[in-house]
Amino acid sequence: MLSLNLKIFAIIIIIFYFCIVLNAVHKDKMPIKSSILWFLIGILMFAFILFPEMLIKISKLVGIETISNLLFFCGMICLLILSFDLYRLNNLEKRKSIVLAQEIGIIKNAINKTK
Amino acid sequence: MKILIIIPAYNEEANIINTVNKIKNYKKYNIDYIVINDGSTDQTKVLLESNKINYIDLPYNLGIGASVQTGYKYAYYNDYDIAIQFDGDGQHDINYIDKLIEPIVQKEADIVVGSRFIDNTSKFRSTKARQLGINIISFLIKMLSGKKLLDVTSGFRAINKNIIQIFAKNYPYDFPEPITNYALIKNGFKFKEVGVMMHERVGGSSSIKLFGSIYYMFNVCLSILLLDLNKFGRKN
Repeated sequence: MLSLNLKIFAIIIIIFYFCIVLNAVHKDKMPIKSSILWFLIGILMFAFILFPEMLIKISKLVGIETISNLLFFCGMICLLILSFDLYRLNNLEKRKSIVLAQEIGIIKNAINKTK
Repeated sequence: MKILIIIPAYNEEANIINTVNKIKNYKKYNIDYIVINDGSTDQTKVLLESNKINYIDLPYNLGIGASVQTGYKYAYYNDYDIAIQFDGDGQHDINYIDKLIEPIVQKEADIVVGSRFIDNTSKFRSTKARQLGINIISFLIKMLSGKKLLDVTSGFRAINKNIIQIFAKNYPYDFPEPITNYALIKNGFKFKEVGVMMHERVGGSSSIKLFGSIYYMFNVCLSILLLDLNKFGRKN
C-alpha cells in the first residue's frame, strides 16, 4: 500500500503533469484531439494512486507477480505504441513535404519561363 | 509525339553541361529535356542558370526517387507522350535513345529498359559486388513474376503516357527502379529490355557506393517481397 506522503507526492506530480498538458492546449501547441490521450493517461495514473488495489487485481489477472513489473510492462507497451504512432506521423509529414517541394520546383520553373 | 528526357542531378557540376549539350545536339527525334537539380550543394545550379538550361530547382535534397518523380510530374502536367530517365553523370549514351523509344512508338512495349547485359553492347558493367546484387534481385523477380529481367537497377529507361500518369501520382522514393520494374510487370504492362552502351561516370561519385551494394541488395529484395502489402504493388 502507498504511504500518505507518497500519495501526496504522486498527486502533486500528476497535477503538475495536467498543468503542462493544459498549457500546451491553451497555447495551441497541441491540438485538443491529441490532448485527449494525454489526459486519459493522467486520469489513469490518478486512479491508480487513489485505488492502488486495482493494480494488484490487474497483476493477478494477467499473471504478473509484482506490481512494479506490471507498471514497467504497461509503460513499455505505451511507449512502443507512441513511438510507432510518431514514426507513422513523421513519415506522412515527410511525404507531404516532398510533394510540396516537388510542386514548388515545378511552379518556379514555370515562372522562370515567363520572365 | 512529345518526348521528354528527365535528368536528375545532385552535385553534378563536373558532368551536367556535357550531358545536356549531347542531348541538345541529338537531332534524330525532336526531344525536350528537363534537369532536376536535387538540392545540389556544389555549382550545379549556377551552371544550369548561366547556360540557360531548362531545369527544376528543388528547395532541398529529396533523394533520387522523389527527384525523378518530379520529372514525371512535369511530363504529366505538360502532356508528354514518352518520358526517358537519363543520368546526369555521363553514364548513359544519347545515341541509344531511339532504341529505347522505338518499341513504345510501335506500341510493342509500355516501358523499355536500357540494359548493360544484353547483346554485350556495354563494356562497362559496374562493380563485381553490384553485379552480384543485380543478379540476385533479377533471380528473385524471375521467381515471383516469371519474367527474366537482366538489368534491374538500370536508370536508363523510357515509359509511355499511361505509366507517366501512374508515376506522377505514385512513385517509390527508395530503390525506385527495381521496385517499379517488378510492379509494372506484375500489373501486366508490356515490358522490354534493349541492349545499350553505358560508360563509367566521368566525375563525381555514384549514389550507390561499393560498400553499400550488399545493404542495397537486401533492402531491394525485402521491398520486392513486401510489395504486395504496399499500394504501389497492388494490381489496379
